[in-house]
Amino acid sequence: MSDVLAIRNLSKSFGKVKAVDNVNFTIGDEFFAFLGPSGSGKTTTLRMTAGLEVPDSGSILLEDEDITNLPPEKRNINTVFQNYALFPHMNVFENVAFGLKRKKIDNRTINKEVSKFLEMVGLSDKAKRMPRQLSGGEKQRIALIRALINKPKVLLLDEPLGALDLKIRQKLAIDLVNIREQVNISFVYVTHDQTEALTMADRIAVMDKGRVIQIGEPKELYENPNSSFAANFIGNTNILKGTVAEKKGDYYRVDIPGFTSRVWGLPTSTCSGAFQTGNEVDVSIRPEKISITKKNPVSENQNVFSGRVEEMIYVGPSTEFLVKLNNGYMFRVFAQNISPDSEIWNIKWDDDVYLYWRFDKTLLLSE
Amino acid sequence: MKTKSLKTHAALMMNIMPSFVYLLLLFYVPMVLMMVISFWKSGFMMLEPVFTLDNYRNFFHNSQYLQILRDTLVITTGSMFMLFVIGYPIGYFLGRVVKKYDSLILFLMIVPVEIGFLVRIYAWKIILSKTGIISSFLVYIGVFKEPARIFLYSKAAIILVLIHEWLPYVVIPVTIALKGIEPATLEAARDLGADRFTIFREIIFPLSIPGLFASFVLIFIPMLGEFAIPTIVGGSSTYMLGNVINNQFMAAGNWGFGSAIGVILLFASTLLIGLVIKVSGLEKLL
Repeated sequence: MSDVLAIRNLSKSFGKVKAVDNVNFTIGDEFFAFLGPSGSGKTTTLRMTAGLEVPDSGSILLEDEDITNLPPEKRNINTVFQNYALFPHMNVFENVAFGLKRKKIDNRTINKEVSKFLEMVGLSDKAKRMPRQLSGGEKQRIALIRALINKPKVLLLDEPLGALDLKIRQKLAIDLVNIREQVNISFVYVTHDQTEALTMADRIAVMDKGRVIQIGEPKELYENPNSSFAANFIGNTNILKGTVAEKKGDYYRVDIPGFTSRVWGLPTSTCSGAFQTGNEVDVSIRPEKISITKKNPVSENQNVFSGRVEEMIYVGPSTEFLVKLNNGYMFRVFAQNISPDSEIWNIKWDDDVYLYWRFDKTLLLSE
Repeated sequence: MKTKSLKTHAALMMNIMPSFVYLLLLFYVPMVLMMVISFWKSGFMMLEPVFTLDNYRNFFHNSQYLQILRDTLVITTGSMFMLFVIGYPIGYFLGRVVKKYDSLILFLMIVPVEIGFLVRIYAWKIILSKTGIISSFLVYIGVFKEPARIFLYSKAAIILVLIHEWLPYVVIPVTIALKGIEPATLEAARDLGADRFTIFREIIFPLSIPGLFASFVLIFIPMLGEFAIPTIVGGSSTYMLGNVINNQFMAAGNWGFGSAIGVILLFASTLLIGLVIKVSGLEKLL
């Protein structure tokens, strides 16, 4: 009952393309993110929630009230648009006051509220400016409070930071989280940027081809993806394709074509039970879970592969290796540059190396 | 740094020089000459470089000329108003409603503009005449008992032809202004609780004002100086200031007086444009 927003069996096609395909989720008082590549249906889902797009089927409930057929101006939901969509002929004050004016609120209250919200985002001195006189970050903050001032039940944000440069994006991301905590409004945030989603959201829905692939907290999605797509889309990962050969306890042995090394792994908690001998599975190993060494390592509870260093990219706090395994697979490895006497300093291009990682960090994914 | 900026400065000057010289010789010099001459002693085929205000005095002390000034303003503002009333909905239709054949329709609107304006005015004269198509039709369906002129040789005829002449110059800028409105801007307005009427009043109309202003400037000034249309369809009863100026230069040979009326016209239009900028709130958008 504490659901603020519930989306039930929502579908929408444009011509022959199924943009949104039977999407279901519920949102409470939280920062919820839709994460997916372009064309995954995340923006269409958001627009249907706002009322700017009419669903083919399914329903949208706002605090248990069916709003599927309400026009956007009648919904207690507001949107922050991708390119701000400020009214170019109105100054900052008029832009922010627009929603309250529609509600026939008296001018004194409007003045007070607008000043309060301008102060919240630190733009009190810009009230008389025209949108074209503002920087990108300022425009974004005005677009945010223009929506927030109406105290919607849910605030929808459509890639709001997409057009800004990195520094401002990072700062505004933190601001957004803080502002949400102040105003206590559910945020639904659409982005294709996994870092944004991981840092800001309480929960993330990963979308692909119009469907929700997985919903979960950032850590769960990263550590326990339910599919190769989710594993690949959130962070980097190395994927091997193989067949289940043997089960011992919770662990499964997977045979990879072209490999002599054994690979033991653990099914992700999100798709356990579906494994049987002979099943085709994907094996996902995160680059930072892998250790790299020149000496043949002890292999207790570890998978060990050997290969040759093809690429070495030094990025300050870490070094990224691309290692070509014996059967031609390229493996990505992140090694932290922690201790000066670490072995990784001795590894050079074209060196023969061993890669090893723990069984329980080897995730088995059913396709 | 300094040499570079000097260089770009010189390059800039080179670029604007041709148009500057053109404007100077064919526009500013004649205009200044006209202003100067308007203060010279002047009569039939006579022009003396002696300062006088007689030309202006003659104009403002002659009720006939003042009547013509009033007529001119009534005809032009009336036509302008009608042009907006007729042209805006067409521009709205092309800019916001039609999605497919808008450029074809715009093209069809522009084609008649390419026909010589005298041909078009004479065409109207024929259409509105006693034996014209409208009159014949009205007799045919029995509204008229016998053929009659329709508005011909009246202010109404002038306004009708002016509207026909200038309509594309309203429709095109309005269409462009309306097409330029981002769909997201309108969605944002809906999202913030605005109904259709509010969206038009608060967003669409204000954002089309630059288009209306563009057509106002394009149309109003040439319309003030119009002399061909009143000559052909206005008959002997309706004169516009353009006719008076034309007569002073071409028939009466009084260049000083003609210039003075030209200057008066120039001030009237400058004043009106300034007023329009103030009233329309255009400053905010520019």
